[in-house]
Amino acid sequence: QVGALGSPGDGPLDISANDLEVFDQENRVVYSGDVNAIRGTARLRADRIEVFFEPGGGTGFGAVQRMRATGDVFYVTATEIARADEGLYEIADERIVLIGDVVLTQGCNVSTGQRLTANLATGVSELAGATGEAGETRVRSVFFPDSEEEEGAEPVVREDCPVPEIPGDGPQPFEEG
Amino acid sequence: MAHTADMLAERLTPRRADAFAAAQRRSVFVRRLRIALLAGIGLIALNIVLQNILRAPDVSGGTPEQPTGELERIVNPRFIGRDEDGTPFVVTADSAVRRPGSIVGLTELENPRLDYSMLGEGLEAGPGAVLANLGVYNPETRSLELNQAVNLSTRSGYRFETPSATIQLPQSRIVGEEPVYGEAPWGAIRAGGFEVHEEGRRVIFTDGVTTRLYLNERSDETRDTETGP
Repeated sequence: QVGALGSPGDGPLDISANDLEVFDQENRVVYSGDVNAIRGTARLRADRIEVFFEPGGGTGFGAVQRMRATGDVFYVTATEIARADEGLYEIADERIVLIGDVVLTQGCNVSTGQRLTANLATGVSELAGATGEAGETRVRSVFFPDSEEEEGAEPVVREDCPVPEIPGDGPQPFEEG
Repeated sequence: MAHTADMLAERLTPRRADAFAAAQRRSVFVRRLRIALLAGIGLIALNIVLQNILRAPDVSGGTPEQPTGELERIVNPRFIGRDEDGTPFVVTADSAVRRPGSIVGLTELENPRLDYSMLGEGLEAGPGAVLANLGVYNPETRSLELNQAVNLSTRSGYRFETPSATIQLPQSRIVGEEPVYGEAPWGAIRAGGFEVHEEGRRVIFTDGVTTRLYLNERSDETRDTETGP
């Protein structure tokens, strides 16, 4: 297990991108081009994000069910940045699965693997390697012990740790009507 | 020719000679009649050609003569047509104006409205809903260009506010190339442009999109209070 991936918390789900295509009868919308989804303190960034809605409801669209992200996927919270090739975010279960060349950065600590499964509600995250024909890749982690501090002192966040660079222009705010 | 006829007449009995002369007179009469008929046909043809020349419009760059000065204004105009699937549509407006010198067929509409299956229902969105302050209807391409305060709703539950948009009726497609604020069953959208295809079943937003999704299924009331107009 690795450090907890934070829950996004409540608040609206704002998504910005270059383009958006709506497939009304499939209850599916597809964002493409530097896509950023923001909810509370969490951000999901990818080249392409598909949002699936539950069918039903007066307007044919129920609640948001899940989001599938592909292409340079980043899940960013206040304290962690996880990078992968693909991601699946199940909204109702508050669970996110990141797959392919996963790199999880928490401050100066870095872990790599092939599959990161995080329960955003409980904070439990599991990073796994890969086994199969393509060979076996193991989970690898580098931890930097914090410098000596007194008991109970606030953890010192080191400033000199390299932060992964997230491509694109970042999220664009939604201006209400 | 006449010499041979006399010779014959001498040998024939008087009664047969008379009959021969009558036949001859009749053939001369028929020949003259044929000539007269041909002449008549020629005259009629000539007349047709002349009429066409006289009535043909002056197509050398100009447009047919319009009432000079005074606009041609029609009150409560109606333009009726069908899209490619044969679905009827009716374009109406408070009034229609055709400016002198404008391209033949283009009609400027004030407060255009459209009764068409693709658009929404009810008072705010149905056939009685004003789509924009101004519109231009082109009967040849069957396109309705909307300008100034465009407010469109589709039957599939999408609403668009934008400065201009064009409804291409044959293909039941709507295109807008200016910033748009839209509302969908699943959330609200701002974008640089939009397109509505397949009667609203497929919608594309382009040129920089920001959206706010309703995370939980909303009833109409909560949605209106949540995101404003």
